[in-house]
Amino acid sequence: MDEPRSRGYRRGARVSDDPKPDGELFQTAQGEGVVEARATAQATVKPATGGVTLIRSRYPGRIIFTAPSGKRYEWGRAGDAVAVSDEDVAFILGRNKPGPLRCCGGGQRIVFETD
Amino acid sequence: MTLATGAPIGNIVAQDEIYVEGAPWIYYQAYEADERFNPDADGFYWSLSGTTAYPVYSLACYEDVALADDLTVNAIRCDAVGDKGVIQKRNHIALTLTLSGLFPLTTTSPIIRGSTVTSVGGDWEKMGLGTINNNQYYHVYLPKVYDETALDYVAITMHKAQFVDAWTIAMVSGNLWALGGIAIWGFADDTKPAGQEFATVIRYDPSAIT
Repeated sequence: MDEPRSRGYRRGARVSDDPKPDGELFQTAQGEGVVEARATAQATVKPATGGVTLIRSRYPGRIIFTAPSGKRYEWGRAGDAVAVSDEDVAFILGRNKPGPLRCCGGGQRIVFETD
Repeated sequence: MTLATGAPIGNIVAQDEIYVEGAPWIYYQAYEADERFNPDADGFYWSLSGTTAYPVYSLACYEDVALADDLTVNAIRCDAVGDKGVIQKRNHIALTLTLSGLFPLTTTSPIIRGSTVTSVGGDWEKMGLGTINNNQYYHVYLPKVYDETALDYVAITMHKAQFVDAWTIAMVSGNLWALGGIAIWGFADDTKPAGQEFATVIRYDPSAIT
């Protein structure tokens, strides 16, 4: 029986498993370009004077909040900045929660930051 | 231990007695973001840098991690004498794993090719499974520290990857939900210099590298 003149096939090689956390590496992997998790929870919040503060979302998706004032705020994607009434700023920034369930050495869940 | 006799002579490069155990950490980021070193001073593209618009996603718990090359290999067959060589072409690099950490949905949506996640009121995460966007690519970064004391590590950066293949969520009684069948293919990124199209491998080990 004739052999084919050419044959295609695939080869694979396995590497590893075991997800062991490493805090040092995790920090390094954030990179120098990381937008630092500013202390937004303690950010200066203007009193309710009828003004607005630009608040930027870091949430990787759409995020919607209805503030106690009744106003509805929506950020379409990470990086969007929305003008939030000063009376609602504390509430919005207060959504930055500690993250006891975060993996890999993750700390606060910083979703919002002042612009 | 050296070979008693029959060793070759001349310039010989021997391997280190260094072995790597366990899975690397797994990070991914939208392709639109620049890699952390883009390039570094030596011309290599590697690592990630999260930004507000393009965060780096970190996977928490996974198993059965494997990195594999995918090639087309055809022999240069000469019937008179046999194979005189081979034509090889790299198709892609494939990372496969089974994922146990499923939340938040923002981290798994790209993996299962879900829609953009909507968070409502800090209480809800909502997403859909619809048609697949075949135009979204990711960087994938796989660092592994193999000496926790000296912080020696090896890291693989796949420049242009996609989550492919059909996934399965095993919902077994008495066991955690496991998202299996995850395959990440690293494609050729022709914006990278020759030799780094599919991935870049970096190793840091001052005590062993000369």
